[in-house]
Amino acid sequence: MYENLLLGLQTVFQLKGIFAIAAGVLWGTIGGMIPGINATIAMALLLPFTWGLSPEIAVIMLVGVYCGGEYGGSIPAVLIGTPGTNAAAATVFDGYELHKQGKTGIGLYASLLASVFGGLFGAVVLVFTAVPLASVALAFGPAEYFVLALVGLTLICSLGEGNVLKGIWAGLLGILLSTIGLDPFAGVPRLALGTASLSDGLEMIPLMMGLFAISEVFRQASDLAGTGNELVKIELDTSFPAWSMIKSWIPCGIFGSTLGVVVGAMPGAGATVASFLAYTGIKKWSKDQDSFGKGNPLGVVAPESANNAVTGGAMVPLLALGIPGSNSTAIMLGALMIHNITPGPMLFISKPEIPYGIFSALFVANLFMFFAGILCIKCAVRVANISKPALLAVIVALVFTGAYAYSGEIFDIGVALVCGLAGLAMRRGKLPHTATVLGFVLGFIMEANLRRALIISKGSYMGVFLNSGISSVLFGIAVLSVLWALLHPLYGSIKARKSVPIA
Amino acid sequence: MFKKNDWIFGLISILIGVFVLVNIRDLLKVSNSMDPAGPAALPSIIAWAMVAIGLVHIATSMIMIRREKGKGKTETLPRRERKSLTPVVLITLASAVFIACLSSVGYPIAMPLLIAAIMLSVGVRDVKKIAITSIVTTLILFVSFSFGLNVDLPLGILKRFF
Repeated sequence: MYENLLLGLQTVFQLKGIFAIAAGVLWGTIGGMIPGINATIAMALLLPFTWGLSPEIAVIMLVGVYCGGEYGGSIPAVLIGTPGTNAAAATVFDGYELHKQGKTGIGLYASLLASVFGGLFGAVVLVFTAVPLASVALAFGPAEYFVLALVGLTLICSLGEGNVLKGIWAGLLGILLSTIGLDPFAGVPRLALGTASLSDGLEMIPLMMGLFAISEVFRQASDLAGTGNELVKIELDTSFPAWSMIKSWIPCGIFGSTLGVVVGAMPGAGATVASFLAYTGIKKWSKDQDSFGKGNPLGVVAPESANNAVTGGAMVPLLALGIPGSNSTAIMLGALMIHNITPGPMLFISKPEIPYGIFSALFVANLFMFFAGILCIKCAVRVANISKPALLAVIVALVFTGAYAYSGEIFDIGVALVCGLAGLAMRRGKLPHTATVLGFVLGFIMEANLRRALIISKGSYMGVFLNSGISSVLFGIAVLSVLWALLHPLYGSIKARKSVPIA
Repeated sequence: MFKKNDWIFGLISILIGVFVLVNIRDLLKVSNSMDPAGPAALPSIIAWAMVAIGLVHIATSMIMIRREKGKGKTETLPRRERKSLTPVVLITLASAVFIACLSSVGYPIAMPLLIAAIMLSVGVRDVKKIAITSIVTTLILFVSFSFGLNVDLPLGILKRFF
């Protein structure tokens, strides 16, 4: 293995290789920063330019774009509350709060360091456990995927700002929105109201940008009215965080990265699911749960380390089994097939420079990402520092252009606008729109896998939950989480009542 | 946990739930032995849950209102709340006009007008600032998306120039 690893390093450490990774990372980071352009689109846009390159250089360039793209989305998430990619949606909750409190440096560098850490962690794990991880991923069937999504959804119970039912309602709304469009099994349109655009279902990008960015624009525009169009400017601290602070993030980074690698190895799960699961997990196990959503750096570290560790995990099914587990790895498979290379177990023997080149490229790309990140952060902070009214107008322009660019349909601009209004109404009604996004992300995975599992179990729900050890354990965790969320406040109020001294 | 004005949320929740149940009633017939759940199962579960959550909120809200009435308390919507919605309405209207005109007028014309309208709605009156922000932003976005990312942005009446 070490000989092959050396071969991989030789592939990367040549002028062409270094340049390909650097250009790829920079392009990916910039692409990720633009709402509507995610890692997959950035890779797809670069694909035609890789035809003239040798296969190993083409693939390591795409690896660079993949890593940069997964990270880039967090920069606008922290600075303007608009996630550049779906995977950065969970970063908004605490990252944007940190920025609003003036702790911009902590938010931005927490996401950068966590991304680099997650990416490197994923690469290390990939080198040593590619084949065993692939077998773990294969143990996940529809029932396990369904229960995993259910565990992720339990987060909605804790997002209701004092009203658990409102959190659950907002999550249910997200799941409901994910059911709009053609039913994947029966092929009949659901809740499409007879319109062709709705028959295709709602896209994640306009929905998320509407709920997060447009609703925030509306909120800030309301605040600006009557304050003479300039709010009191907060002094932004963009300095690099102290080592003592960074040190305290490491356990959280390890947790997020481990989760990211495992989720990444599962075909179909992806970076968005990983980041939400990491956020859910770290919030649940934190002693200071109330600080999440109010600017806790761990709320940035967990999702960012998870979504970047996914890059390593996602390579597992591609390289070990020849199955692309995500859209990004499907593009990478396409790039390999253009050069007549078929991934799978034989690739490690026939062309070891390709898989080991990818392993080495993941290391180098994540190191490059640190410098590309610093460069992009410096530029982005300047852009975000323009006057408030101009910034609000630019955000709307960027969101509408991004929503159109994603699908090429004007309808999606309308979706972003309607979701913005809905988001504002939800803010006013103390309904967590975060839960809606979470429901939307996990809703489709949950429904599709539940129905597949029911087909396998011939309609038996007990069969879905209890037929395998993994699904039973995960189902137990989900039930306990819901019970805890519902009963914990009740227990707290009873305890508080008992502790009131009798006059 | 609950608030006095939660009846509004409860009512909306019930309306959404009923709307979904009405819309999926035809789908309830679509099922086969291969797909035991069918396409209507999840939406109907969610709709019933929404109706239930709505009823809980209306009931608790009514109890709270009745209790407060007994104490003789009344509350009106603060004036600031109503006034602050003006920019939201203006931005929404400008965006709706933008969406309606985008394909016919074209992105390079519609976008600067939208940016200018948003800046005006939040109280900016400096014409030079509005002009620079709208033109520069549109130019950067148009060049990056059209030429950098190969996105076919609508050109409308400007199509013959490109």
